[in-house]
Amino acid sequence: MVTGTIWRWLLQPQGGVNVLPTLFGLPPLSFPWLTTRAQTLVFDWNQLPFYTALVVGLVLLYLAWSALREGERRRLLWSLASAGVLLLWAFTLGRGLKLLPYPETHGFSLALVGVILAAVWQMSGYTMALYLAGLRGIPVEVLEAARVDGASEWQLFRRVVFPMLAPITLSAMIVLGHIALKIFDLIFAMAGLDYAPTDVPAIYMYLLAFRGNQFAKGAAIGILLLLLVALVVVPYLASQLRKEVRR
Amino acid sequence: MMGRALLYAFLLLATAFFLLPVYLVVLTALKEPAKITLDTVWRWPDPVYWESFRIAWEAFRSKFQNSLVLALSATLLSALVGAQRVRVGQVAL
Repeated sequence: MVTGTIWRWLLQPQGGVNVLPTLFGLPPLSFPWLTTRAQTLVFDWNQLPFYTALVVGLVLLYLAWSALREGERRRLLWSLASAGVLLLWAFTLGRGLKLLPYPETHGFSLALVGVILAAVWQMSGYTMALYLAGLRGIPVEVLEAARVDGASEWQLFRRVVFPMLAPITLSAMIVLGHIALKIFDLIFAMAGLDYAPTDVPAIYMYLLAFRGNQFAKGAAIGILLLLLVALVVVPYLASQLRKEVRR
Repeated sequence: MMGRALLYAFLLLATAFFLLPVYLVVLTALKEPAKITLDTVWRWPDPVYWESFRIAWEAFRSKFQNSLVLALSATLLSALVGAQRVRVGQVAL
């Protein structure tokens, strides 16, 4: 909540980071941050058949290429012919095919950029503490042995330190991933509850349950969120338990 | 040499990214409420105004008590529950 409040202040369209360049005599930035409705990487779901055909066509072309290398003429002909027909269809009829009578576009909301910056600011300290603990756990003898073997600092990091920090990386990804999945307070503080471009499941659950009095739907979203978090956390816990049992 | 320069540039940017929000909060806390505007948000407070801290502390105290009670009880209880889990786990193993 505190992070959200600070970053909301920092990302005001007429102030904060936007007026930072004016301190150096430059014009202010004009990006509206949280108030933008712009999207990038926009995808129209009407184009799903085209892209599906394109991907399947490319996979078939790869199969044809592997058949050519292995000298299988029959598989080569079938794959090539299927890929040809599919790609021809995609680039002629497929492009014009519409699943819906209206464009159904979805993309990455640029309003989320500010929230992402704030989340990185908030969670980096925790991740740094994790890595610091991990780095302290690496025996000095191992590092010295690698140096004696002639490893450069970069090789030392890539081949020794980073692999030894893999469990820390995994733990950090699991913890941060599940925090990000159930994020609520940051969005609440930065963009409020009613702003569609930054809407997340936890906000929607809260609105449905406590503003719309639709407790069943709210509870259902809560269970879905729990299942999603479990998808991230349970395999990790299971692997940890297996490791402990093996020891 | 170029690589080192790039590394230092990145580190400087990262430092700015992490410290600017803190700097902004400190600046804003030291300004007179009437002098806080969006376009002068980075300007050093003149004069430095400490009264906000006194007012904030008065409002903060009772709420902080609640936070303290919550933090202490939640930490102790979760540590106790966690310790039980470890004990049960050890017995099971």
